[in-house]
Amino acid sequence: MDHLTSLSIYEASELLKSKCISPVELLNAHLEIIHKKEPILNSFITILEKQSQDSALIAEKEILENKIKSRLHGIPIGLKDLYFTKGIKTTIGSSIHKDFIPEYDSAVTEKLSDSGAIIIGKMQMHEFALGTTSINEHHGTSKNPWNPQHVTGGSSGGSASSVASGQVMGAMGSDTGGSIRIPSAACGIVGLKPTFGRVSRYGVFPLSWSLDTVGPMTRTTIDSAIMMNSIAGYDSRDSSSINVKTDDYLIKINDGIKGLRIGVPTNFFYSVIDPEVEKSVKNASRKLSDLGAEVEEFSLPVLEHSLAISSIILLTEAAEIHLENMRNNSAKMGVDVLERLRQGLILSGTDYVSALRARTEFNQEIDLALQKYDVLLSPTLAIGAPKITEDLITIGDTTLSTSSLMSRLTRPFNVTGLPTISIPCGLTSSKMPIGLQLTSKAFQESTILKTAQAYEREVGFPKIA
Amino acid sequence: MAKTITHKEVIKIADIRGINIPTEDAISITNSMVALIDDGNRMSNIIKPTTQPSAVFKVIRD
Repeated sequence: MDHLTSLSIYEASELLKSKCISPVELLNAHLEIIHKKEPILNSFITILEKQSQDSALIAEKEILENKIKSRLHGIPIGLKDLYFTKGIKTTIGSSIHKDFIPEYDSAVTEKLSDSGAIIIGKMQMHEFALGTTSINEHHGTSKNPWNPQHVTGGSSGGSASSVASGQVMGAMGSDTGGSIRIPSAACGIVGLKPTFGRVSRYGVFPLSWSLDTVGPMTRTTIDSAIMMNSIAGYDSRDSSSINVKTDDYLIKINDGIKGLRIGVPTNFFYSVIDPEVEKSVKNASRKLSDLGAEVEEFSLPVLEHSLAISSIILLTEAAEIHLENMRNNSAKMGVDVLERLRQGLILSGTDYVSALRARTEFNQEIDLALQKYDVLLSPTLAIGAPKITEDLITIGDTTLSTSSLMSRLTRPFNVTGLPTISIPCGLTSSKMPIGLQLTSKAFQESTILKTAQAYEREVGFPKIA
Repeated sequence: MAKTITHKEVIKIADIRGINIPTEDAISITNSMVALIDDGNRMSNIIKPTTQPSAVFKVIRD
């Protein structure tokens, strides 16, 4: 990355505000990196070169007139290709919708535009957001900037690779079983899944109505807070949106974590895990303790049921959304995606209701744990990003499909709908990033952001050589 | 949940819903669903008779 593309959003916004750099200059530096790295990384489905240049010129004029809209004014941002963009192709990573052009913007697209952000492109993703690798036979596979032989994770793989490589300063992802946090951990960036209902899903192509969440992917914790300041808030057009006052996520971000109670569940998360990942996450836990948090290990047996609850709900809801595609367009769907959707088709109504009832019990158990702790800490991924060619992963005596293993540790927090952030906490011996996730009570995004920021300020995040 | 499932049952259930699944695909789906059915049956153990599914988001909304 050169100087301009290695800046954080916060740093760039300060330079833009003081007119030391211009939005056009900032955008052109990113377009140059995009053209240089895209043949290797394949982060984009659509690059919006002309539109972004027009937007940058407008932003430049506004900033020169001191009409600064927000800290995102003039900042190049990418959108996962399931956010509706009026008049701009939105494929949902599929062949079926390869020519779909929405007639309206998603709520997030609107909010980012109102904040002055420059939408620079639509990012590559796993087909229909139903997968954890971003291997995509229709639009090509996005590659991990740490090592292009490895997956980015998914489903928001292009968003993660573009942020990690400096092609964009921030991007939007979506998270139904981990699709923001998995690629963020795999690519060494910060990914925030907000509370269910905190950020509007209006105009975001759905996968699972009761699990889908949308959120930011950035290189720093402060940048995540900056993006949340622009996108969070109630929206009557989204029936799942919840009308709770939003915070200014920057205000308390540097408050530190003295006295914060952090619970570390000892079961489930560590039963199938690469020892290198476990060591890094436990080192990070000790670091948070050194910074003044009260860290305590505890057992949370209900976690063992998270995969069944998550799978039954996600697969059934996804099958309902794609029923007509399964009937009429199955030949145009990827083999892995079609197989998952067909599993959802076979599950019964009683299976679905059982999962909803179990979800209630599950959520109450997690809620009880969060009466004792402010934050729960766990690994995001059990492994560093695997090679694109690896279909199966063996850890100890257990062999799992790459796809299953990648989402194993993130799904519990889609079941609860609680805010969860993934941050980098080290590298494996093969130099692939390791991530940890921090979870808090509903609408307490500020708590996990200040915890992440305390860690980042003290330890820092690994950077691509 | 079902105690187990066969690929013939997968084909039949899909057919009722207007979807044709070739035998080879049905075998693969059946294999994938075995673990899910086992997990689902264990999951049923945590449900109390009084639990209402309508309370899914009670924790968040409260």
